[in-house]
Amino acid sequence: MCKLNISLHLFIVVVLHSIALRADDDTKPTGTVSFITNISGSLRLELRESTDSGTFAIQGLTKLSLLQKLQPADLRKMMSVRVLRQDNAIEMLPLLGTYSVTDTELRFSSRFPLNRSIDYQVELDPYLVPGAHEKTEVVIAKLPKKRSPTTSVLAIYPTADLLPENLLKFYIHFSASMSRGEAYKRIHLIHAGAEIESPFLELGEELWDAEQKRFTVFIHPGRIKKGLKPREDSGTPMTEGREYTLRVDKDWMDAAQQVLGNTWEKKFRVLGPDSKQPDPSQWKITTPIAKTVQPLTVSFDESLDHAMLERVVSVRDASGKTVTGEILIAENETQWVFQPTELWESGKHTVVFSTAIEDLVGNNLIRPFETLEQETVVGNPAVSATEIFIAFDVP
Amino acid sequence: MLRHKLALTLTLCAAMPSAILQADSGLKEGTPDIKHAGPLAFAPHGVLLVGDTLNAAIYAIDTGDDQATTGAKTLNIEGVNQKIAAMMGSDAAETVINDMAVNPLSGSLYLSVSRGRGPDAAPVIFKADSKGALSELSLKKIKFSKAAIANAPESQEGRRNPRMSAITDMQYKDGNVVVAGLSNEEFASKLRVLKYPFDGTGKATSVEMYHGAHGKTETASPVRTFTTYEDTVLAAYTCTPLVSIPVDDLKDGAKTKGKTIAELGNMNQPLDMIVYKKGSQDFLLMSNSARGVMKLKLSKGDINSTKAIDARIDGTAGLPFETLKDLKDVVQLDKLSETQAVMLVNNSGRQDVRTIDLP
Repeated sequence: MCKLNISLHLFIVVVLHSIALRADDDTKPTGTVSFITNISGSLRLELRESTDSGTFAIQGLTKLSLLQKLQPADLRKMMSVRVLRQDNAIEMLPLLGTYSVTDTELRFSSRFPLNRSIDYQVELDPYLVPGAHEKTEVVIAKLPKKRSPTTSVLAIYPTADLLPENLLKFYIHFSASMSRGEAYKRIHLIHAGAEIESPFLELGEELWDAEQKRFTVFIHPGRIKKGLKPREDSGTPMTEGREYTLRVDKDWMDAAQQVLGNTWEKKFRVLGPDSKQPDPSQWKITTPIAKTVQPLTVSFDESLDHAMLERVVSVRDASGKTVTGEILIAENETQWVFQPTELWESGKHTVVFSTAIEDLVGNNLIRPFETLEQETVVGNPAVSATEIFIAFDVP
Repeated sequence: MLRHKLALTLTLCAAMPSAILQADSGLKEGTPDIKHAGPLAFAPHGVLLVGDTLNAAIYAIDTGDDQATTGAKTLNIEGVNQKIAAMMGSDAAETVINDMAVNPLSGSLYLSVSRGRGPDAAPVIFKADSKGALSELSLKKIKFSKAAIANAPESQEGRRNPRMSAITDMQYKDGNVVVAGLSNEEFASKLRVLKYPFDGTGKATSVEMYHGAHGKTETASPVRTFTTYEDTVLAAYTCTPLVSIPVDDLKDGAKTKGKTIAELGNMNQPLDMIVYKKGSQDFLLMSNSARGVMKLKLSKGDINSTKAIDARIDGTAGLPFETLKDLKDVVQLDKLSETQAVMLVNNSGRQDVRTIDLP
């Protein structure tokens, strides 16, 4: 997909006056030299890269002391760096960056680091560059790219093969950071070989985590809610009894601009709608004994939201201090397993759940996804309850 | 001596507007730690508001672009995404224009851009002057202030917290910045109202938005884009009803429900909205994913008197709208002058900035 070799094209090579190199530069060049070429005679282009910039340095010029007196605008006329224009592309504006002249070179440092999948073109104007006679252009072809391992889909939640018709979201976990901006083109909901039209809530700000390793896909809520026009017109995206595939395209680019390479699919069958809130009174708890690292297990009456199970559930000891440990989510997200880092101490403990925790269709502990209409509920105690507590004894 | 005095006077005059601005707006010189330049809006005196989902913050930045201009302008930039990409030494595939906003004072256009698509993409803000010349708005040593928008997400010490609250839209209205957001985990929609100038406390009014369906149920629902009109917020939900919410209802901790005043059709995602006046009539213009730009006659009286759409309906209902079929693939929209709008249009892989007369 990407060119790995360095190649150099000299469109016009001109012989320039050669001069002896001046004494060593007092401003140390920064970055690693990734490319050097003799343009002609003593004139040479050195490209140095650092993590935040690329420096294009012309060495072997005469009369550098004169150049040092020039303004950046004049230096820009003398030397410019552009992205190499592709056929039928618009005119390429010069790169943003700063010019400087040292005792040994004329430098252009780009405002941004160089993109290794791009060809750059350096132009020198013969009427302005001391010693040059004809227009000179040097093309620096794509630089060798550091190849990263292929990114894969690690998991798609919910993991169950049977999912409710009014399912609200999927989480797609990747092994490395992905690219932003084309998610909704790369995810498809398919039934009987045909793609369901507009099943997802598409947002300009895609719902990634900060590392861009987890993507949240909401099913279009307008097509889940009863009585709303999108659902009246087009029905729910999924129908009870049918089989569906959530497909992740192999052409989706990761953050390193490499495609996934493999298509990833989750197949599932759809059950009837779920309108029931999770009911903590039905949950079962398996408690550990003191002086062990036995796991604590809470089993739910239905699958809960994977992300929230990892974030909004915690264990506290008798003094209210949070117990540290590892969380494992099992049995298609119907089980929350907690493995303490240290031995359990005997006595009263509490598992604390945020009431915001949702099941697979967006019902949480204090309100179902679709509530009965009511007037303003400011100050409603049920709404202000943000946590529920399940007490247990460690014998 | 005389010359010296004159120079001093000029310096004082030049320094005055920004001194006043600083006293007004609490902006301090520094370099804002923006990680992602997302939604944009303008506060008074040429102060640009930048929404940053990654930092869960709104930045107010003094652009220094506070010279008022009036009259019609023409701002057309073909392949603006390609041009910006070239200036950043990158290509259009690796460049995303996240939002655009016109400085209502100067008529200059500002674009929030990501250089790259990965988590380390550099946030950049570009300015296009009235002639279409592009330059970067440098964020080094600039006057700015910052306000946090999210409540601290629930999380445990030492554990990675992947929860984010995406900023879906943002507007300035009469000393307030209204921010619409959606979490990438629980399904809830919040409108936050921050007092502007930011007071440094980051305290925001947070309102839970509910959307009444046609019948008896209601659900928390995410606002995709919104604008303000007189004393109401006009919000387009992700399922394209247009809803009005009185600004006075945006009280801390309140749960409020919008009144559905128009249904804009199905299989359609609202993208951007502006309000304008033509003659004595107000209009709303909305770009969307499925059809041409929609135009709606607007009046406070109609919003108040329109019967809320609360029954099952055929076709579209509520306030009538027309579709401007020749305006296609408009992804961003803003008012350029009293008589013009500027649009960002997808044009087969390329994006163009185009000026139109307000319809």
